[in-house]
Amino acid sequence: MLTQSKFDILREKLSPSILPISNEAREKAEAILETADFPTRRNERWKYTSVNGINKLTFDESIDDFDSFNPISANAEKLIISNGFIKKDQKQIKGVKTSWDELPTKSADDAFDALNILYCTAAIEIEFDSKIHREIELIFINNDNSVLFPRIFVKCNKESKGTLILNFQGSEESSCFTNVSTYIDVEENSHLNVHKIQKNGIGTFDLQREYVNQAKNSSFSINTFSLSGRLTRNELNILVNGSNCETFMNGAYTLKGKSHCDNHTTVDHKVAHCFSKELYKGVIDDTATNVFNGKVFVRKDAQKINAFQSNANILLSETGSVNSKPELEIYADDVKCSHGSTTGQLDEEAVFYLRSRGLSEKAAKELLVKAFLGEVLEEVEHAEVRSYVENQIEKHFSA
Amino acid sequence: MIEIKNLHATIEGKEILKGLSLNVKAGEIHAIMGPNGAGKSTLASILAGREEYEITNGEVSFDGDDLLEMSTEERARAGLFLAFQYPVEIPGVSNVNFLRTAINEIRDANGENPISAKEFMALVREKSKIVELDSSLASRSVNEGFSGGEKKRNEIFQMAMLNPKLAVLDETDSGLDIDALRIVAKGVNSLKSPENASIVITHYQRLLDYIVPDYVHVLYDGRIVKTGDKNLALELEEKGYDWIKAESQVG
Repeated sequence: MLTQSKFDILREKLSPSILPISNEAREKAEAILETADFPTRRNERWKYTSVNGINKLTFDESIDDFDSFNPISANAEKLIISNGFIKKDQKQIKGVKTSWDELPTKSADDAFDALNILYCTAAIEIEFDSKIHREIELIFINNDNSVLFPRIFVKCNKESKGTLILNFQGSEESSCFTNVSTYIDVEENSHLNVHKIQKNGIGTFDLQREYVNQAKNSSFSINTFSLSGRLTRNELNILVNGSNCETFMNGAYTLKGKSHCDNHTTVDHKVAHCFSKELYKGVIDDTATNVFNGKVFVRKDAQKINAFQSNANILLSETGSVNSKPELEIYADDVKCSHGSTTGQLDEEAVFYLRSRGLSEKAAKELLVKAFLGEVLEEVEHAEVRSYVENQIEKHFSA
Repeated sequence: MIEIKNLHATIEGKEILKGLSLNVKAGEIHAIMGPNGAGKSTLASILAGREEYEITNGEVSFDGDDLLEMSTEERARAGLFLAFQYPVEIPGVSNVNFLRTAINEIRDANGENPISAKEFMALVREKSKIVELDSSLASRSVNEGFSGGEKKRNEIFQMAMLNPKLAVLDETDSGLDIDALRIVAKGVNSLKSPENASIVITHYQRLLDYIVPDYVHVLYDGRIVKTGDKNLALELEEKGYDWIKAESQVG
C-alpha cells in the first residue's frame, strides 16, 4: 500500500492553479512532488525548521478584495495582490505583466517551488529597462486562511536601474500559507535593489525562495525584514556569474511568542573581481527560535573576491534559541573573506546605565535593541522603507 | 536631602557596609574618602539602586521618601544622579538621543511636557561648554571610543543636562590628568546651588583642591569613622589611612 506523503495531504486541501502552466513545467513539478515529502531533521538544510504545522492550517478560497492597503513608498508604482490573487481593475504599469498565454518555464529543483508552480495564484513579471530609476512596489495583502502562491519574475535589463519593494502584510491575527518563488536576473551594468518586508499574521507560514543571477558589472542588493509570523523561511540564492559585481544582503528579524525564522543564504562567486557583503541581525524573545545559515562559495578561478558575512543575535529571554551557521567554501587562493556569528544577551550594565539616567527598563532595552538593529537599517538607503521598519520595531516592543 | 541611617549591606553573603550613617542637606558638598575596600563604591552602587546588593539593615530617606523602595529609574526621576566610576560604552545609541529620552522620561514622571527640540539643543550647547566637551562628542554614540577623560567629562555633561538634586560622584577623578580634573571640578562647581547637594567619593585628596567640600568623611570597614572639614582631607593626604585604621580599631 502506498502511504500518503505530507505533500499529498497538503495538495488535497489546495486548489490547482488556473494559470496557463506549460506542460514541461507541470510535468517536472509533478515528478518532483511524486517522490518528495516534507523535509525532516535528517535533511541538513532543514535541520532546525519543521514545516509540519502547515498541514494543520485551514484554507478558505473565498477572495476578499481589500479596499484599503498601506503602501510603503509614496513614489513607487504599485500592484496589489489581494489574498494571493491580482486585484481586479488595477491600472496597467509599464513593464509589469500579470496576464499570460503561458507562464515562463523557469523552475528550481525544489519541492516547494514545484508546489508553487502547480498551485500558483498569481504570476508577475517585472522588467526594468531604463537608465532612469524606477520603483515598483508589490503589496501582498491578506487576511485569515488565505493561500498566497505568487511566482515573480524580475528582469533588470542591461544598464537599467530599479527598486522593487515586496511588501507582505497580513492582518495581525491571521494564519495563512505563503509560498513564493522569485527569479531575478540582474543583467550587465544594471543596478537592482530589492526590499522584502514580511509582516505576517501570527499564525502564518511563509516560505520564500529567491534565485538571483548577476551578470558582469552589476550591483544587486536585497534587504529582508522578517517582522512577524509563525514560521518564516527565506532561501536566498545568488549566483554571481560576471566579474566586477557587487552584492549586498541585509536582514533584520524581530521574533517573539512562538515565532520561528530561518534565513538560508547562498552566494556563489563563480568569477573573479567581485564584492559581497552580508549582514543579518535579529532579536529573539519568549520561546521564539531563529536559524541562520549563510554559505559563501568562492570557485577555483574566482580570484580577488572580497566576501564578508556577519550574523548577530540578541536573546531577550532565557527560552529563545538561535542556530547560526556561517559557512565559507573557498577554492581560490587570492581572496579576502571573513565571517562571524554572535549570540548573546543585552548588556545588563548598559541597561543599568540607561536606567540610572531615568529611562524605564523597557525604554532602555528598546533603545539598545534599536541601536543593535540600527546597524542593518543604516544600510538601507530607501528612507521610507527604513522608517517603516523602524516603526514596526517600535510597535513590536509596545505590543 | 538624603539621610542614611545605620545602613548594612551584603553582597554574596559578605558584609560590606556595617552601619553607615550620613546626613546631607541641600547646598552641601560632602566628600567621602577611604582606603580601598572600605565600601565607597558599594555606597554609590546602593544609592543608585544596583540590585546585586542586599540591604540587611538600616534606611535611606531621600527628600522624605524611602529610597530603598524605589527602582533605579524612579531614583533618577526623583533627582538622584550617579556619575559612574566606569562609564559604559553603548554603541549605536547617540548621546543626545539618549539624553533627550532621559529628560523626557523625567519630565513625564513629574507631569511636565516634553522638551522642545530647540530648547533641548540650546541646553546641549550651553552644558557641553561647561565641561569643554566638543559638540561632536555629544552627538556620537554614548562613550564609544571616548578617552578616559572624555568619558568622565561626559558623565558631568549628563549631570549638567539632567540637573539633579543630589549628585553622587563615584571616583570621578580616577584616571584623570590634571586638565581633565580641573574641567570636571569646574562642572561640578558650576552646578552647585542652595537647592542641590553632592557626594564626592574619592580615594585621593587631589580632587578636593578643586571641589571644596563642606564635610569630609572617612569611610573605613563599612562605617564612617571620622568626619571633619576640608582639613581632614589634607591630613589624610599627608599621613595616609593607617592612623585612621589604628584609631578605629582601638575605638
